[in-house]
Amino acid sequence: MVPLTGGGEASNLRMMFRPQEITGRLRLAREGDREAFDEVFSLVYGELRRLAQAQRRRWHGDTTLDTTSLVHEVYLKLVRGEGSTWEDRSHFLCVAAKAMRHLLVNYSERRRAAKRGGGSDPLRIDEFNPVSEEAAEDVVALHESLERLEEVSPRQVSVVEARFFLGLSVEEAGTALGISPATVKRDWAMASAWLYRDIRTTLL
Amino acid sequence: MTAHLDPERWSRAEEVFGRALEVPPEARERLVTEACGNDEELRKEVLSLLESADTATEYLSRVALQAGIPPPEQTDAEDLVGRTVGRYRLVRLLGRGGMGAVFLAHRADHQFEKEVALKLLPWGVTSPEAVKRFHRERRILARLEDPRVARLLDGGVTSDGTPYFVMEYVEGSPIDEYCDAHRLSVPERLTLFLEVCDAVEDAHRHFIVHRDLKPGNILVTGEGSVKLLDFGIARMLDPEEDEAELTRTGHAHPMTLSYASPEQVRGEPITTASDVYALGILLYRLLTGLHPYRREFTSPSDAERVICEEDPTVPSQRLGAGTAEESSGIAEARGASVPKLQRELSGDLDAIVLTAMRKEPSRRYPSVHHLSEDLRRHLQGYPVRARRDSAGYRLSRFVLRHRMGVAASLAVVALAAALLAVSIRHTLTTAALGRALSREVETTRQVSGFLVDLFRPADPMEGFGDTVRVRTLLDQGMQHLARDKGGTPEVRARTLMVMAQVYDNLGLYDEAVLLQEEALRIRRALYGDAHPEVAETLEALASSYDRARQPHVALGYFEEALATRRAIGGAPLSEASALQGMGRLLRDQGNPDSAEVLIREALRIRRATAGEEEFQTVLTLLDLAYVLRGKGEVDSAQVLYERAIRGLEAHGDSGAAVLPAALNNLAYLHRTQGENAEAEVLYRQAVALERQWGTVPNLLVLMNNLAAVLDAEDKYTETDEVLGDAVRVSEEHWPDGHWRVGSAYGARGAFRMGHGDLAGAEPLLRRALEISVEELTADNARTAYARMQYGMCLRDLGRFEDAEAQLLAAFDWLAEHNGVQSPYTQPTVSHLVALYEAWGKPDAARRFRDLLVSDSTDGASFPPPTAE
Repeated sequence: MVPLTGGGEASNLRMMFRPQEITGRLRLAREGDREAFDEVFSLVYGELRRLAQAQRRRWHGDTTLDTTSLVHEVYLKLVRGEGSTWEDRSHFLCVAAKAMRHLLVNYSERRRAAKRGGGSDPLRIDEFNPVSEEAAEDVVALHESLERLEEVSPRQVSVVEARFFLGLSVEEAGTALGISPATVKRDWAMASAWLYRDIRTTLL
Repeated sequence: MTAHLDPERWSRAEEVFGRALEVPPEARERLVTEACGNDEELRKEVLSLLESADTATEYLSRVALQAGIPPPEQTDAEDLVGRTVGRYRLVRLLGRGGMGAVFLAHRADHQFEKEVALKLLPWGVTSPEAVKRFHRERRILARLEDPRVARLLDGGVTSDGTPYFVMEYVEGSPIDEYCDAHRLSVPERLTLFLEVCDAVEDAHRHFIVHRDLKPGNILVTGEGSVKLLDFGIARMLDPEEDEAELTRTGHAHPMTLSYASPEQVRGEPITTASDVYALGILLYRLLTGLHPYRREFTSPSDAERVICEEDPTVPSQRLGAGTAEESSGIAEARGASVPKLQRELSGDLDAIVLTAMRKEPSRRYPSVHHLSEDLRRHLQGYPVRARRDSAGYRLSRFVLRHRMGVAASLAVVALAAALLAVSIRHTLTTAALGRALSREVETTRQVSGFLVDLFRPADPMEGFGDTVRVRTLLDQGMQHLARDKGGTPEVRARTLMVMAQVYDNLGLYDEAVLLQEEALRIRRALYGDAHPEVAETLEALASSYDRARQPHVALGYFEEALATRRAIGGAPLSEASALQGMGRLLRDQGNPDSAEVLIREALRIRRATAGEEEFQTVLTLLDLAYVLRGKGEVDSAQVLYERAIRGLEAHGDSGAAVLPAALNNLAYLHRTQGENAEAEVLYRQAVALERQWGTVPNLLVLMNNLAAVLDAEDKYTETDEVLGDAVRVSEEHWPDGHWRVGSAYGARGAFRMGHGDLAGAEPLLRRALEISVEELTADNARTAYARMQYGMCLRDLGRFEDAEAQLLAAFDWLAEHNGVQSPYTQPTVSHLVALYEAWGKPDAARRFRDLLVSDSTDGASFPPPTAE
């Protein structure tokens, strides 16, 4: 087995923050600090991406990403530590859900680029890409529909992100978002119905 | 569609939609119409959304699956009660887990009133091939008819692609809970466990591996009989199934990490050996009530690391890990006191459990049958097989950890082991008692804590799957130590010494010396020149320089250490080790007379203070014997060796570790006297001991020595057997194609060739060369040597063209790296001359003969290396 080597990307990220600082950034982000959010987001995104590759290599033969354990691992690595609270974890999950959404969109765009041939960022053969060709269009369409939904109901978007991209259960999503399970169920039902209709219109 | 997106209208739609969800589907349209009043547009929008809600969820599930992520949980499993799946109606939720939800179910068509367990898997089966495979496996599993295995009755895939299994419904409790509830004693637990083994063995005979053995899947019914559940992930081991099929798993990883084997977490092929492993963990749990690893896994990669690399705690020792209350609770559930339970477990059961749980599948019991056999032997009071080689196995594992790349956690374990060794040695030499000892323990504790800290923040990415060599880790630790002045100077100095010890063990003497010198500086600043810890540091420096082959520097440090010891005054015993170290050095420097004086002085001190039988005294006897043998005083040396060997035999494990070396040296003495028969007996003893307790590299040296003496006795068959045994030993120890395996092949091949058995030698030498090329690449001295050997053999077989290719390749490499006239190159030149002469090519022969330095060079005989 070829030993895994830490990528340069990961070690740069590592040098940027220590856990306590990430907790601080998370809190700033929750209070609406856009810059802090971007920082945390890019950090979480990079970790998710790196770990997704590693997970793929470890659990090879398995084409489904275990998103739950992936996110848990990133959480343990980046956030857990002295002074981090339950709120930090909830907020982390919201950021992670967005990061997972963008990761999948990225995979889908690479898949589409590979299909078209050429493109600015073609898919490397050895790179893991969990998104199948059939799903690539749907994921991108879903992403675009979510952007439209964001304008009227950011909370529903968060519910979809938590349930769809992170695979959280109704209860878990409720806890992460600070809303009741009943609200999660209602938001999920309505948002997914609207998204489905919207995507169908786009893709047809 | 975007036209509808007005926040105000959206929240009105949301409100109506929410209210509609709360009423039964048939009442929704009326509710919406009433709620919207005359807002026709809103009414249409909400109804349309309600209409597509179900389809939408299905659509998103499909996209998720195709995008490689788990589909969102559509409904709570509880909500499914009352629904129909296939021909079954779900009555009650029995449980849920990573493998899906299990329901109590009835046949919906009321053909049978029988209760069944229906398991809905959490993921969908999307492709037609997957559905086919699912059905094929179902049929395979249905073949398994064993009263101890819950029968698979039915199975299928629902219209939305969710697979399900229908199994015999078993009322019972998990085996661990059952054992505790009934306070089963250890023998009773073993008897029950043997039933589980028999059931698994039976499944294995049908080529079905369970893959997920754990208490939750092993129930004991009210009548006390065992039922195994959940062959849902078992897969055929049919040889006709191709490799790819076997290694592929379904979606997600369904096994339970607590019981997963190293090969399972690594995604390697799963065989019956994986079940043997899981049974080992189960047995561990049934006996100790605890999991073999001391802590919970924090993440999948943490689990992988622990499962693949950490040695489990010995069962009998695991018991003491918790609080006294916990331990006595565990013992009580087994009808015993804590000491009694520990006695029951230690020895046989420890060995059996650990054998079943070995990391390498090939080192576990070869089958479940072997495991149950050994347990039965234990129950009947016969010696068990597991204990034969476990100590040697542990030792060799320890050595492997030091030599090969291991991951972060292990390096810390290795460091802790080194730390322990250092403190034990320290305790022994100073014989520190009372307060001194407790201070020692405290510092040791602090140092190990400090070490762990040292390595943890060094790289938070580590332990997340990245394999790091000990070397890298140590280097990071060293840099860290250089930057961060953490810890008190005492702890810091001790830490440096421990790390130096590890570097020293790894053969990295420059680094070891660097750290020791820093420790020396700190300790001198702390304690002044005349202090035992300063002397200890000087002795360590001397030893490292000695091993680094810088004898003069080493000698200087030994002298300084001795002077320091004398300045401190106190016990003369403390001077002995420096005297002995200097003696060894002088002996190797070709100054045996001075060496003898110093070692005799060390011996006198040790005899006077510690006594004749004391371990260090015995070791000093060995040193003296070695010096005397070198001086040609063979008879005195022999007497001393024999006395030392008897002394070592009285020292248990520590004696056993040195005994093979002592036997080897005495055997060598006999060989130099032409007493081959005596040498053979001693070598055989040494081989047997090393095989049992020692390391494989040492064992191979001893086997080669034995082979050399057998060869000298003209015992051709026995020599060949020993060399064959060496091949087997190295193949068992190192992975396929390791260069050490190649060396063993080469040695046997060279021996056969030397005795004219060319046909027998050829495949061995060819294999040796193949391994060398694969493992070490063609650009390597060993490869050149293997080519030369193989080329000679081919030449003597008359395969001149093949021989020429090998010998020329060897010559090219050797000439380029060592020069034509080098003694390493010359043998190949003379083989080429001989080749061309035999081939009838005098011109070519002459060309190479001109390159010969002298005609006496003959590389044909390469006796197995002899080590003293």
